[in-house]
Amino acid sequence: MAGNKIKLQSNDGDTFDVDVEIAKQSATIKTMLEDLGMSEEDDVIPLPNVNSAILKKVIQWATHHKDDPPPPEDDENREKNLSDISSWDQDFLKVDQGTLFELILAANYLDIKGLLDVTCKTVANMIKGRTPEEIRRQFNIKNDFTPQEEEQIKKENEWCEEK
Amino acid sequence: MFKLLDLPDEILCEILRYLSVFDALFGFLNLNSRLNRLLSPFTGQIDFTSVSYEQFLHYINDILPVISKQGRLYALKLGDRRTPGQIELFNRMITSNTRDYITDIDRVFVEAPCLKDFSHFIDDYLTTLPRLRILSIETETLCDSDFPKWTKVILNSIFPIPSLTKLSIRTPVGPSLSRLSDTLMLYSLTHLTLHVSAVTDLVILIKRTPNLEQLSIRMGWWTSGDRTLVKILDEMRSDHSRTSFLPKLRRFSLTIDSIISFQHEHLQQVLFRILNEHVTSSFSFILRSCIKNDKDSTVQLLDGRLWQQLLSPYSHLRKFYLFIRISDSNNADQQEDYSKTFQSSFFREKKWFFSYLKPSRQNDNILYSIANKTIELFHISLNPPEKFHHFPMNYASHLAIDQTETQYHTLDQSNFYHVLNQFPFLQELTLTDVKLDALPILPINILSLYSLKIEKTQWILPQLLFSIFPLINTLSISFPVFDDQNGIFNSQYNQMKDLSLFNIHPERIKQVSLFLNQFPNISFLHLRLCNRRFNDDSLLNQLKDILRQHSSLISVKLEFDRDFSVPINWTTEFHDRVRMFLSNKTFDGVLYHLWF
Repeated sequence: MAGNKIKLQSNDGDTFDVDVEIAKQSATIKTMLEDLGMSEEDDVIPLPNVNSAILKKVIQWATHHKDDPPPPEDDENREKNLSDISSWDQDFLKVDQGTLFELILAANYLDIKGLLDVTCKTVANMIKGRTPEEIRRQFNIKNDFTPQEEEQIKKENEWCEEK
Repeated sequence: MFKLLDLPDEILCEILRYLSVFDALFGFLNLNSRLNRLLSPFTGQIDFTSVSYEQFLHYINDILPVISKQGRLYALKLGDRRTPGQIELFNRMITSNTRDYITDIDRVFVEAPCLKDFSHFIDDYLTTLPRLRILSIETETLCDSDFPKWTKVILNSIFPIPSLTKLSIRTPVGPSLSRLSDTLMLYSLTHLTLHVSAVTDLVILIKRTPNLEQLSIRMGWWTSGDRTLVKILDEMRSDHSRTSFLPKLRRFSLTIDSIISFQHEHLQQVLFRILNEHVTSSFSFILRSCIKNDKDSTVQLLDGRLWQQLLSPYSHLRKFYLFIRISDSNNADQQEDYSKTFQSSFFREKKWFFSYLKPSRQNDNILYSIANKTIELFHISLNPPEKFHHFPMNYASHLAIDQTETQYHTLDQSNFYHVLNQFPFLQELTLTDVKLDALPILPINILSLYSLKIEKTQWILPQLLFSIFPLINTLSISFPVFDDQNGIFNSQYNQMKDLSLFNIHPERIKQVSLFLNQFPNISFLHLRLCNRRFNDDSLLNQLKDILRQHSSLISVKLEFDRDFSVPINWTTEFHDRVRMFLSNKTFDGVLYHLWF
């Protein structure tokens, strides 16, 4: 049924007309359409976990990747493939950290494996090779250890502080 | 703004899965109690196989003491494959203090160990581990002079480790087991993967491993004319008291590199002592090399009725994988008939798995792959060009397309992309004599495809190559394919991690340096240089420049077709970069492997 559209509604009330085949890259939406008997023409599919700005980005990504083959299930070489992000995806993910993390959450909720894969890889690339202190600063990670634990950790971390 | 730690645990774990054990621990350990908890899957395992020398020292001196307090360290992975000299360094660093952290290890994985250091590693460390259950050793190369020592190490040091239940030794050549001590029984082993020399070694082995549940054997050659085999089979035939030597065997995989002479009856007798009619549920038979012009062997191996006769006593058998490759143009029509002998209800009912079985015409095996499930070599040949358009979906991880002297089947623009699209799980692609410059620039976006090897290609622009394969991070190619293109090396490919360049003439090494500047994140580099008529000092200076320019390098292989007139101590010569190195004689020169 090429050309059929469905309406996706974000949690702030905006609706988006999307090609069914593009929307079906989301296993969550695909299940709603196929298993729950929601009709394509009339119903609006509410997506209570995704806001309008993020949903717009997700649709943009899914539209670009509509002809991609299904992503592989095999995870053995994941670390090897860490850098393998297409230039389009790299440009697409040049966003602030908040947007990147919200995209990850949306990809997870909507069950879009390809988008989850590429967004997680992007975060992993931001982590790879950095010292704990660099990561703490970059991601604003709060220390939640007790003073005693912290003292112990300080001793243990001396080696990388010296670098 | 949404922060990293606002993500739920399941997503943070997902992100961590993209990192190596070292990167995950290096970055996140002791930042936060929640992160420490999420790191628990990483803190039990130690993986040294892709770390730099400095990272290795940090791991041993600083990370190990921390993670050892958080729970038992149970897995260790190390080797010399990408980190030359690591096993020697490990042997030196495991003092009485550090040993305490890693005495509870129960599984050890070793990659391409240097034999001398590996012997010490076994004696001084492995044999002292009271809980060691799983041992896996892999090496891609083994020189002839090392073979007797390897055999000795396997038979005398590894086999007798009493706690081992799972043992996997993958070497290019298998040991002969004829010298296995008569009194040695490997009672503890339940899973074994081993390369052996010949069928007689297999027969010796099964008498010593009564508790095996899974056995995967790769055999150098099979010959039914072997007198020792005939003698052993006669002895076994006279022993009516037992059937299978392996009463618990559930799975058996037999991969044979080549067949010299073959009698189905001998295979039947050997299998009679291996497969168990009440237990064995899976059997695979893979012949890696082509049978050429051996009509007797071909007839017996391709006769479905003989296979049916062989398999039918094993009522529990549910999976039978058969792969045989034939190259015999004279009997093409006859072989078509053989395949019909597999059309009986016996084969149809059980849904046996047969790989694509077709004789090639004119010895043109243009397409072959390594099957995902067995990781053994699978060759698939296609004949007429139109077959490309009907090529079935394939779950192989390694595909090689060879277009050498192709008369009947040329990959054109459309079928090249069609074939690749049929391999959604492809990880490694080898292209031999494929005219890439004739292809349109359509990016191949198979997410799993990371490695590309190009052979015999005349010439290609790097921009074109990386436009067609934008996602690869491992490339092996002859450098002249890119060379003599002045001014073309002006792009950046951040994803490239592992690069091998061959056939480099030292006069062109400045071009190599320019070429490498395109890859700022490269970790592993292999350069093969034709230096037979080139000045040593000049070459060495240029290599120094290259190595200094790339701070991301973890290890470098330098292969020369002539060794230096004065022996080089690479750690002295490159004292600001090289920390350890190994050297090996190669078939036509010398290989130096440097660890940074």
